[in-house]
Amino acid sequence: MPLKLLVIVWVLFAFADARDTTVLVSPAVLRGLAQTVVLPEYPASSSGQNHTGVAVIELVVSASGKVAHTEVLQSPDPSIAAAVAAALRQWSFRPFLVEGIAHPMRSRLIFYFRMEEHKPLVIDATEQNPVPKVKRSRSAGTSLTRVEAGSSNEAPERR
Amino acid sequence: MESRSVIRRGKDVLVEIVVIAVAASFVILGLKAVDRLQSARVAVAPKLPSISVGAQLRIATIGFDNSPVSILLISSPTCAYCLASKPFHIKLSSEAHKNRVPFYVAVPQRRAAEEYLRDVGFQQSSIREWDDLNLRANATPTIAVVDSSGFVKAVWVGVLPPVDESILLNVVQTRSTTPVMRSTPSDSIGLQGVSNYSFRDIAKLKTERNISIIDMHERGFPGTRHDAIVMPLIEVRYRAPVELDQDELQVVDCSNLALSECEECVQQLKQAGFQVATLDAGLYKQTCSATDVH
Repeated sequence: MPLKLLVIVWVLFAFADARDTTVLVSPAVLRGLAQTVVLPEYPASSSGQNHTGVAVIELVVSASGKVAHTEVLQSPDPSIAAAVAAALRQWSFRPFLVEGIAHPMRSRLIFYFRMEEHKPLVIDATEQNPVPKVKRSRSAGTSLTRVEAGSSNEAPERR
Repeated sequence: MESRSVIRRGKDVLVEIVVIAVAASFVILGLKAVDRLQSARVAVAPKLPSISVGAQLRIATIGFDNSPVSILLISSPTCAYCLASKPFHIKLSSEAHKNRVPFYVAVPQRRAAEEYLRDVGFQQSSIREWDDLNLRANATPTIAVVDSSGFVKAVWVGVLPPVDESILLNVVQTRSTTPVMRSTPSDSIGLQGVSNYSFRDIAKLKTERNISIIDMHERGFPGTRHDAIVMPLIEVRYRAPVELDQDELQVVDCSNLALSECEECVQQLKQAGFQVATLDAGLYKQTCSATDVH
């Protein structure tokens, strides 16, 4: 009987100890830690139907820098959502260190799916900020400034 | 002999550990399954247009043409904020009855709400179910003022501050929507140096200039206005410069938000060069999600 109790207590402790140490970071920080970047493909079915707009994906990255979980929060259509999730699963990141200890992190990345001169275009808005506007109400967006996000001093590897 | 009993005991302990571990796994899997089922139920809920100013309301078997103004309360017996507002709802219903203003109440299911309806004392003929409406409420309690053509003239959501209660009482006492139009309320706090509008000012503001309403709550927040652009705070810095128009006034819906969160959004938009105002800043409307209580 005492042994049973001991095991129950151990099981409870085991679950209680599984605390979530995931750190919420800004998209810029996450993007800055990216090592392997695979841009989502624009599915032909979506570009064929002129489905354009923003896709927002939330991801959890493990302490070792692997993508542990993805959830598409918004997308122009389900095919684009699937393409974004498939691409993001291939990303890898440098560890996010807090006092020398690597922590899992959670954040979002934002992509724009556009048709420009009848050509499909995918823009990584977290890296390329500001993204040129589609509807240019005035001169805003005519110049394209490339800003490397985050504190990364290594160029991310592109596939 | 002794070693055999030790082995047997060891086996028993092992079996017990396995049983407990399996039981724990079942509990966790069960909880996850319930969670998944609940999300699925929310996802398949029929999507009717939201109740909002300007929308035309239809309620099964009811016409609005007998009175210049009617009141619709969308409530739920399981919503704590509906129960908290009960004294005001009773007062409003009784004033409406006194002034011959039709007062309707819609609950998720009439049978499940019997006790609540009896407590509040609504007339049986005025009780309807949510499915009888052509519009849905995002949150409860919701009170709508409807004109004789069924057009929604004003909507209140949540536990109301005294100023809004008195406007509503004024509507039923005067049998007119004028008190809504005349009111210059906003007991909300606002941020220093930023214009703050109440939701009743928005319709007027829209006639004067181009505005966008930005809702920085997470997607699926029950109080999101149908005319708002949903842009959670974490996304504002990246999406605002692309999606918002520099020539428009960006009105950040700050209701149900801590002022610090509202301020951060305002600052980010200002830094990106936008003209910014707030909507209902500092006004915390206590509401229940209509999908949770359905």
